[in-house]
Formats: sequence, C-alpha cells, structure tokens
Amino acid sequence: MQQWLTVDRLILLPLVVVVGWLIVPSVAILVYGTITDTPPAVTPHFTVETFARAYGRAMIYPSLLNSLIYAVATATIVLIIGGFLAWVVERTDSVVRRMTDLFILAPILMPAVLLVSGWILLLGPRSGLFNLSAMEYFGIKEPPLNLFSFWGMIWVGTLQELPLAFLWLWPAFRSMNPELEEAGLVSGASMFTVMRRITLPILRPTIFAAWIIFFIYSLGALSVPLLIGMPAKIFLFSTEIYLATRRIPTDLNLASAYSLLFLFVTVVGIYAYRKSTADAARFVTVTGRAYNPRLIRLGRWQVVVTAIAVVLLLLVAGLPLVVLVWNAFMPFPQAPSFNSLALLTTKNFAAAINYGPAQRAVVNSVVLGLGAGVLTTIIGGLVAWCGLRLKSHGRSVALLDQLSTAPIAIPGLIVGVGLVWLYLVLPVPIYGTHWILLIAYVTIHLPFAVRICASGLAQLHPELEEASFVSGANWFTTMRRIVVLLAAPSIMASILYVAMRSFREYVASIFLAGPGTEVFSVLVLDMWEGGNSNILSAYVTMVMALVAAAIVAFYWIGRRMGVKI
Amino acid sequence: MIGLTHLSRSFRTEHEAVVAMDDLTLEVESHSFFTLLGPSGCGKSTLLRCVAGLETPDFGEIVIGNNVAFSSAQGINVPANRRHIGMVFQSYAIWPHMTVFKNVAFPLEVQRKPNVRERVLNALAMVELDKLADRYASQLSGGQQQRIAFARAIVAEPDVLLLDEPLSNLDAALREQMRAELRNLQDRLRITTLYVTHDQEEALSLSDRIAIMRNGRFVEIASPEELYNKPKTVFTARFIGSANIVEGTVKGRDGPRGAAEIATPFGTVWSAAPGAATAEADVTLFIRPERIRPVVGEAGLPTDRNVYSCTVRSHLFVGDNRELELVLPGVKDGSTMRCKWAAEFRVSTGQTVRIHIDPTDVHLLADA
Repeated sequence: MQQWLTVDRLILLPLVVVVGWLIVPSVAILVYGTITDTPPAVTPHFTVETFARAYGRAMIYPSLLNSLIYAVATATIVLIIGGFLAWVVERTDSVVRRMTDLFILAPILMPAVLLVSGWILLLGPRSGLFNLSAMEYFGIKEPPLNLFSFWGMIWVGTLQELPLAFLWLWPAFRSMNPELEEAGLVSGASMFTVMRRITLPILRPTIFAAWIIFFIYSLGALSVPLLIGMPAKIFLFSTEIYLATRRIPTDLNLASAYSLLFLFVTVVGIYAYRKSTADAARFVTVTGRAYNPRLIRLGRWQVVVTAIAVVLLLLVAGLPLVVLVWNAFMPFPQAPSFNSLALLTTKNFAAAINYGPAQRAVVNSVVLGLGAGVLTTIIGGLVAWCGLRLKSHGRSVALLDQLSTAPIAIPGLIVGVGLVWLYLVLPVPIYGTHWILLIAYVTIHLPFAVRICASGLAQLHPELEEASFVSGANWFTTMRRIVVLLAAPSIMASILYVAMRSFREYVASIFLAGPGTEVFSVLVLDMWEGGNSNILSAYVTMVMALVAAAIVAFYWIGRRMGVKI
Repeated sequence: MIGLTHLSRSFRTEHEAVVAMDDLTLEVESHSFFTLLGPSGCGKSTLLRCVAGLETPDFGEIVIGNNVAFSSAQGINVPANRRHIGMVFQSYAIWPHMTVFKNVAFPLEVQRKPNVRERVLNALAMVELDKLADRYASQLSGGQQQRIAFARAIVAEPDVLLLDEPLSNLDAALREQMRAELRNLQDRLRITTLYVTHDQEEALSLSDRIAIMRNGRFVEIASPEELYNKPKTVFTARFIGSANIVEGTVKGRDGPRGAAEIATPFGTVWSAAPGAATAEADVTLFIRPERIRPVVGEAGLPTDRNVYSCTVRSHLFVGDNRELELVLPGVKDGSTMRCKWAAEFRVSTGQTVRIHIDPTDVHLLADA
C-alpha cells in the first residue's frame, strides 16, 4: 500500500504526534516533579530532596510490600477463577453458557465503587447487613465476618476484576483450535492429562500476559485501598500517592516521586508481558477464527459446576446490587426482615437528586463518557488501521504501536497526577475544565480502543480495501464506504466500551475533577466519605438504571442500523 | 498495452533480503491475454500488484495504455485509484455489506460515470447474474462471487484487466467451467489482460502468451504451444507438464543439420533437432512422457534408433491414462523414465517392455 505515500503521511504523522502528546509529556512531567521541590507554575528549584524525602522514610516500604502482596494475590486468584469460568462457558455444556452476556455487561455497567460499597454494606463490622442479621439470628455480640482486613481487600479486589479476567481469557479458549485437544484425547490421554499437557501449555503466554495485566490493575486500583484499606489502617502504595495529593498542603512532588517507582514496576511488568507474547507464533492459539468445539458433557458434574458459576455471578453482580437497592429504600442501614419492610421509603431518592452537584455530575459523566468513546475510537481505529495496513512504514508504525499501548503500563493514578502537573505548568488553560478529564479518559482507554478495533479490522481481508482503490475510490471514500461500515460492530463496541469505562473511571478523575466538573464516580466516593450510604445507594441505583436504559437503547439503535454488537 | 521496463523491487524480511522483481522488462500487446506463471514466491503477484499500483517498485517504469503509471526516473507514481484498471482478487473481495448491484456500481459511482444502472445491468448480464442484482454477497456461492468480481472489474471499461489467481479458490469442476467462461469473455471484450497463476493448465488453456517466472526473473516468454513443445530451459520443461530430463554428451552428428548421437547413462539416444550442439558437448535432453511409445512386436518400426528394453518399476491407473515408471538398462542411480500410455495397455510390475522414442521428440535444453 505504499502508493498512498501522501495519504500515509497525512495520517501517520499527525497520529504519532497526537498519541505521542497524550502519552509522553504526562509521564515525563513526573520526572520534573521528582527532581524539584517547588509546586507547579512556580520557578522550579531543582533538588534531590524530594526523592530523598520519598524513599528515605521507612513507612513507605511496608505500603509497597502490601501493594505487591495484594497485587500478586489478587491477580493469581482472579485468573484461576476467571479461567475456570471461561472454560465452563466455552468448553462445557453447562447452562451458565447462556449467562455470558451478563458477565460481559456487569463490569462495564457497575461503577467501581458500587461493588466495594455493596460489600461494605454487606460485611461491614458495624452496619453490614450480613453481620447485623447474623448477630440477630445467632444472638452473638461480635460481627462474625470483618471485611476491613487484608483478606477482605483481596476478596473484594478479586471479585471486582473477575469479569474482566473472564473477558481476557474467554477469547483464548474460544480461538484455540479444539483439534489440538482432540488430537491429545485420540492419542489416549485423559481429559485431565490433556488439560495439563496440552491446553495449559498452549495457553501459557495468554495466561501469563493476563496475569501481568491484572497485577498492574491491582497495583493501580484505588477503590479497595481507599474504602476498605484506609478504615482498616492498611495502606497500599496507591493510597500513599493519593494521600500525598490530598494532604494540606498538597505535595505533588512527593506524589511524582512515588509515581515514578510505580511506573518502573509496571514498565518492568509490561516488558515481561511483551517478552511473553513476542514469540506467540509458537503458540497457535489466536487464529482469529471462531471454532465450534465439541462441548464437554458435564453429566453429574453439571449441578456442581453450574452452582459454582452461579454463586460467583451472584457474588460479583447480584449480591452487591441487591444490597444497594435495599439500602436505597431504607432510611438507615437495616437487616432485611418483614418488620423492616414497613420502613420502606423513597426519601433517599429525593435527597440524592438534590444532593449538591448530583445532577451535574451525571450529565458531566455522560457527556465526557460519550465524547471519550467517540474520540478514543477515532484515534484508536486509525492506529489499528495503520498497524495492520501500513506495514511498509515499519518504524513509524512500531512507534505508534508502542505509544498507543503504553497506557496499559500507566495506571490511571499516574495519568491523573501527570496531567495535573502538566496543565498547571503549561500555559494551556484546561486545568479544572472538562477537557483535562477528556484527555485523561482518551489516554487511559486508548489501548483498549486499539485492541477492539484491531480485532475487527483484522477480520477484513486487505483485498476488500484494495478492490475499492482499484475501482477508483480514494482513501477517504474507501474508509467511509468500505472500512467503517464493515468494521462497524467493532467500532460500536469500542465506543460503548470506552464510554462505559470512562463513566466508571475514578482513579484519574479523583485528581482532575473539581467544582463544576464533578463526575459521577468521584461524587459517589465523596458521598461515601460523607457518610450517608442510603442516599448514596439511591443515587447509584438511579444512575445504574439510567445507564442500563442507555445501553439497551444503544443496542437497539445498533440493531436498527443492522449492526450486531 | 502494458509496458514494463527494468522493473525491480526487493524487500527485507527478518532473515534475508528478498528480490521480488529483478530487472523485469516486458510488453503485453493490446487486446491479448498474457499470463505470469510460476511457483509461489516467484514474484508474479508482486509484479501484478505493482501494475495495479498497490505496491511500488524500487526502480523501473510501468506504462498502461498510453500513460506512464510509474517511473522512478521521472518520479511518477499514479495511485491505484487513478490508473483506470480492473482487477479480480484471489479472495474476490466482494463487499459483504453491499448488494451485488451496489458492488458492481461502486467503480462507476466513485469515478462519477453516467448511466450507472444500465452499465451495471449490462455487466451483470454478461456474467449471467442480472437476476441476482439485489442479493447480498454472503448469500452467493464461490462461483457467483467470482463472476461479480469480474463484472465489477470490467464495468468501468478499464484499460487493462488484472487477474490475481482468480480461480484458485474454486473446486475443480467449477474451476474448469470458469476457465472456459473467462476465455470466452476475454475474447468478446478484448481487454488487455494480465493474469497471474501457478496452475500451468490454466496458463496453457487461457493465454496468448505466457511468461514463466522464477526468483523474480522471467525464465522464458513464449506462446503456450512453444513452451509446452519446445521449452528452452529445464525449469520450464519441468514446470509445464511433466518431463524426463536426461544428461548426456554429444558423440557425433549426421552432418551439420542432421540428427545427433548422444551418449547417456542408458545408451545412445538420437535427437532429430539438436540445434547447434557439437561433438563432445554436454547436453540436457528432454522427453515428454506421452511421447514415449510401447513397442509391440517387431513390425512397423521405421528405425532401430532409440529403442530400449526396460523394466516396469511401478504403474498407476489414472483413468484415461496409465502412468508408468520404467527402469532403463544400465541405469544404476535409481532414476527412472516416466511415460504415459493408453489405459488399455496393461502391464505388471517387474515386467519387461520395449519402448521407442522418436528422435523428433528428443529436445535439447539450454542449461537452466
């Protein structure tokens, strides 16, 4: 496709500039923050003082250790359970198969804070519904289960990432040629031996790659450390970064110094990830084909396997949701009973609607989410197209690929800190506006948009585009009339995914949202810290209903347009 | 007319530098059907894609009709969408989100040509698909998709038609049928056609002229008959049809224009058309399997030249023919002579048969 020299340059160059601008300065500024001890927009004073202060204190190391243990445990457990679920759904005749959609939708539907607060409302030591019920029922004085512990954190952290783990592993099971396993069975190996000697080794790179990703996710998570860790006096590294920016006076320099180490750990992780996927050709898993594998008949195990899967589904999506809705209608935390039904009230909803910036936050989140969805998909789609079609521009394309996947290694936390710095230093007046949030959302979700669009575009035979060029159509006509329409399902999926993830994004938003630019997810955190969990419940319930309706509408419009999502 | 001059292109893979086109010069006459034939990786598809404008040569010149489409010297590189060509792709590349009509109408629409409806229906009628105009491509068979691709390629009346292994994805019966139709359509439309294939049968039956390609070079350019009957190189002889290749040394000739007597591992072989070969020259002989005839009884042989007794190593019944491998006397290295006889001629393994090769069927090849 070299003949499109001019068009190539017209697209590649601006893309590299745009993507480069999103990624590089917001990370580079952290170095600047670390080697100075002056706040942004002040004549910088260069010093090693900040670095020494950050890593000279003994108390940071236990936090670091906590973070590592938390991330390793969460990533490991979530993959084991997620892998089990993916296997059940893809390879067995379990009835759970039909519930897959729920699992895919749950993580994009629920705000991160919801699951955590749901579990606190359930297992909190003082007012957790389970503990209240248990104490009442068994007549015990002490709450039997305390969520505010390290294991409580890992438990909720695992459940929080479970749907995503499922999403990561499911395609691997799906695109793995079942004949590879069948060849093993035919050779005389048992189901278990095939699993151990064929399936797992083949999926090893995928599993390892997923582990790294979830390790990084867990390191960068903030909801569990803030909502469960802090009250339990268990500090993680991410908590320290957050606190450094929240203390008065705020210490962005310290936050930068911490972020740099954080970044170092994730970059090492991503390096390992790249190494593991580099020789992926050896592992014949991802062929882009969907097979129709012979399903394993569970027989007697049907009940057990299905029960486990359903319980997991309930733990992840069902229970917190029920607790939340229950609380939304209660005047104060209350164990469910027939007596408490008398207390049912809708006051919380009225209170939530009138709670400060509640309405504005929802509007902001919706607008920013959709904006980020469309913008990220445009950039990500073009990046994906260049990666697939402009192989002749090897170096620029490789650079573009590395830049656009870099945010996987940059937790939202760092994007948040980096952007605050950057736009306080630069004379671009977007700090404190919606734009800075939009930039954050695009940056954070770019790798996902690229991934989703690339998987769609990879299905399109290049000759479909070449046929259009040869017919006399130029680049834009070809994109508009052939590529965009044929890749429409992926493009819609990418918009929806990024919009939803942006909607529930809170880690970067915490640093960037301010008066007038409040967003839903951060406001929920504020409400939680404000202490009224019943108004919060009502608020979240309403917004969830709204979002669910929006998704249904999105699907409906998609169908009407003849796009299957 | 398509003219290629000193066309070169190489690219680097991870392990090596590959020369896809090595100084290729060629002229395809107007209205003719020209085929690029060669094994995979010989550069034939690269050449076709360069003519289409989908790839760019490093060096050289491409002329399509009266226009220079590419010239490294003049810095000209007309993009694919302005070369005015029609192309049928290996995968057909029928757009699945458009109807058959829309697919065929696309070139006319983007080139802003008038009478779209009429021309599309004409093109569809030509490939006998006018009744399916409102269908979507996904509802059509491979053969039908192939016809749409052809209709789309010719609808805007391009200067040249480029076909990239268009029959390779069809099953055997359909392929033969489409082959006949393709030749038929080209006879009627008389568009200058450049065709790429690795299938020698397709090449022989469709083409006016064929270029045999190997490692980015033209090995031989000639008409199908010439290539089959009088190949000049071992590569061509082996690539087109099957061939027995024998090394030998010229012992002497019946005069300067006469037959040559050639010493080979299985004895003396006479060739009626040895060209300029002189005594003591090392030569490579080439004999088509179907030209080797069994000798039944002593009668009817015009000469005793080129008659041998040999043993049947193996025999295969392939329907209309019987394919044999014969071991010739005195041959120690295990090499055999392949021949193709009528199916009625029954033999058994190990049996001794006598064969005769007419000296006019023994050709000398240039060193490949």
